Amino acid sequence: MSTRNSFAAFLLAATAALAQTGEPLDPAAAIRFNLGPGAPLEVVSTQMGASSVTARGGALVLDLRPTLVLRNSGAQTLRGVTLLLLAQEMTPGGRGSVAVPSLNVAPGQSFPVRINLRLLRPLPAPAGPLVEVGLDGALFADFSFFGPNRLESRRTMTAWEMEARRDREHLKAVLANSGPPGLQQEILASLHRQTARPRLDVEVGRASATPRAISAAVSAILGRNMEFAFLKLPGAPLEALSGVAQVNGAEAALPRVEVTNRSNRRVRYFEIGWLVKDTTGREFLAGSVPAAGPLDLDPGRSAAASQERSYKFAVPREPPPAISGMRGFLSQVEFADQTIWIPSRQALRDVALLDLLPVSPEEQRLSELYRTKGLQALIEELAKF
Amino acid sequence: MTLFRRHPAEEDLALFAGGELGPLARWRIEGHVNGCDRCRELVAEFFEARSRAMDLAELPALDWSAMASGVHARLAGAREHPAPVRLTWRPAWGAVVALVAVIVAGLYVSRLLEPPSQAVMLGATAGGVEVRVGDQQTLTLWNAAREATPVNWRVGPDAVSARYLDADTGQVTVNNVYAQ
Repeated sequence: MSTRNSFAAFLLAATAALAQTGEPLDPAAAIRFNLGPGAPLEVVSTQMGASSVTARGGALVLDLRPTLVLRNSGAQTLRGVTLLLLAQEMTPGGRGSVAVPSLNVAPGQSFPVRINLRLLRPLPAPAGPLVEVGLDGALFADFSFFGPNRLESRRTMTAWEMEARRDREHLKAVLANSGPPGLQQEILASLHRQTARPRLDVEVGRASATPRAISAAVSAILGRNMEFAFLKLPGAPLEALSGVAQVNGAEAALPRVEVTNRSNRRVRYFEIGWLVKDTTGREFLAGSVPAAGPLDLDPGRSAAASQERSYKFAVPREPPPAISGMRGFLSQVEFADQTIWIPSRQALRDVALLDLLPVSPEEQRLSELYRTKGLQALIEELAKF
Repeated sequence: MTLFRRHPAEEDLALFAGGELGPLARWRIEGHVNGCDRCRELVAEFFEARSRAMDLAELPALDWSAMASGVHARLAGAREHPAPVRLTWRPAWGAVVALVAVIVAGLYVSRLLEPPSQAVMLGATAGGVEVRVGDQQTLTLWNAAREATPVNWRVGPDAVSARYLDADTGQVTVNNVYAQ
């Protein structure tokens, strides 16, 4: 063993010995908070909670449980924030993020952000902090955005904010038309949908890569190509032309969907929602097929979304489901000017997707507010917007 | 930058994945892998391999006796039922044999050499989301509120997210974990 390797082995053993018992983290030494220069947010305080570090195999497992209190130092009301947590960039599980949508934080006000993440960092541990917590983005009420946007949090938070406005408007309309009893009925229906929605567990892995050509060839022999059926949503700017995935029992791999731009605007990104049906006729949301990377899709042109991934589905406490059909629908479009299209609530209702899709973060927040504090609290909350 | 353009040697990437490079070499390779998907993937694979090696002591116990009994039973079965007809070789069978050999080899590679549990897997269940590196390291996004409110997960090609209502802050919180 070379001198360098011996030293590395010593460091590894020493760090492992130190960390084996789940040492509590010293916040000043282990976590560096860096929101970046000019950020419209300030860290008011940090509490480490039960954060700890443990050695497992050849890596450190960082259990991060801090609570931050941030202040909106911008001039606009804050609607959402995404923090990037980085233990090590290239390590699987070395990067995570925590996003808080559906905020309503006026300038000068503070709000808590609780982090519940486990990250991984290979041994030996560095001399400096183990984790860096930074700002990936902050979205304000006028849709202005600040942050490096490494995780495309601008698009994600803009879509959440649009869903929030759509769903609040819907609830306000119900309140205006049917009064408090109508609103109560609507929110109870939402709570029922949230608990009754059929769910699948899913494992995602790599489906194909050049060195694994034989595996891919064998999968191609064992599986069969299954076509997507597409739901047409009124007002959708893109039309799905065709889609296929390789299906074998409870596994689906290599989904590919081709769309054409029917709008008169250039498209930067789109996402296809993916539903799978089992042999008993039950239908589940399997995931989404996003366009790969930023597009530059002119009106009338076509593009494809595809993934070199395999999806293995399971229903808790049941035998593995056999996939018998697949449906797709356009779930999100980002135009070149960074505005976002999402399906209207009516469109989702018309194609019976409301019962299959998760409710928006805002509907989740409002229904929980009703559940814990009652109808009057919900009515007062809606009146704030 | 020209300095970062050249692909590093594989052994340097392996040392990098193990955190065994000096500061200068680490800086040079970090600069390169930040802009090179291929090398980034190699680093991730080296890291997985290294993690598995570190966990060899924790390999699951295999029932070797049962496996050996199974092999003996199949051999005995084959001896009891010998092929009754003597076949003569035909040239067209060559292609069939070759195809079967490819399928068997492929099955071997895909099912034995690369079982799914040895890869980086993203998982999502009602309880939360996780990244698994091999069998031994499970990184679950701990969700303290999962007992109280439903968790909505979302799966993408390189990340999974779990959304839940944090009971303490009253805020919707979305945890994301990335495969790389």
